[in-house]
Amino acid sequence: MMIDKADFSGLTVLLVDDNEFIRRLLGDILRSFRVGKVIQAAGVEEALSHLATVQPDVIFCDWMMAPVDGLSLLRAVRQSETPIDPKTPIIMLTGETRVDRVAVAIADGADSYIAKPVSAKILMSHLLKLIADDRPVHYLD
Amino acid sequence: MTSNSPPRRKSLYEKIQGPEAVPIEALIERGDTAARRASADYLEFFRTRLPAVETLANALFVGSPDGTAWRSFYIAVHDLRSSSASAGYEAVSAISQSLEGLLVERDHENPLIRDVIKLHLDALSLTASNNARVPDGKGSARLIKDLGRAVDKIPRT
Repeated sequence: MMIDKADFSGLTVLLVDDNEFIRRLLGDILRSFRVGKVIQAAGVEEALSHLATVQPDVIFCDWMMAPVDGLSLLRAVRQSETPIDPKTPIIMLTGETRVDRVAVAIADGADSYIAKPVSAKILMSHLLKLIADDRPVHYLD
Repeated sequence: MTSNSPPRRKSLYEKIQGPEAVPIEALIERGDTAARRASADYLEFFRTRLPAVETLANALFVGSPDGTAWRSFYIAVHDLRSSSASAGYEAVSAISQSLEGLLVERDHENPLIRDVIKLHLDALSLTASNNARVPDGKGSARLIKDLGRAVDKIPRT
């Protein structure tokens, strides 16, 4: 599916990263894409707190965080340990490029992963990939 | 017709359709501009972050640090590498990558490892005082090569 234009104003994105600069960078890029709502969390605990009240359309989550890593959030969503749709698209952000490590995230249900460094073009290509996959899901609003 | 199915959430594709739709290329250009603007603030972030990384390193230099101390330092270095690379600060990224390799691949029990970690931290401090950039490509290459030679003094695990 070729997508040549988009209106992201109806999307809500949750961005989870413990690095303040990366949150600023990705948040600014997403807002420049005119994403309607960009919610930021500095860690898994804060992300879980947001997920108690918000159903994001997409979650971008850093993998390597302390004290709780991003895989924990991925697993919590996929295993229905949060109130949100367990099929909510999740893109893992990682500096990890070793195939065996990345395979762990994919096996745990990540829809995609972005190997840092991140750019606007890379971020957009991953967003469009998710949209092209276009999986209609059902849940109560 | 009635259905017991829950209401259908709009697919992402449906959600991005609309009269305000903008060409993807234009959005990427906007994103590049936003990224350049955000990256202009990286140096301040780096200078603020470096002391915290040094504190985590210092925890390795006293007594017998446990795995958690090594792991915390590794995550901080990994974080520095990925953020500097995203901001386009190649010297910081290269030094951090060298240090990350040291922490992942080399013997933590070797007594020389602390000196090699300090060398990397000194290199990071130097770049911080030099606006996070080295004077020229040759200087950068020489610095990274020297750090690599220091790393090679530590046996692989």
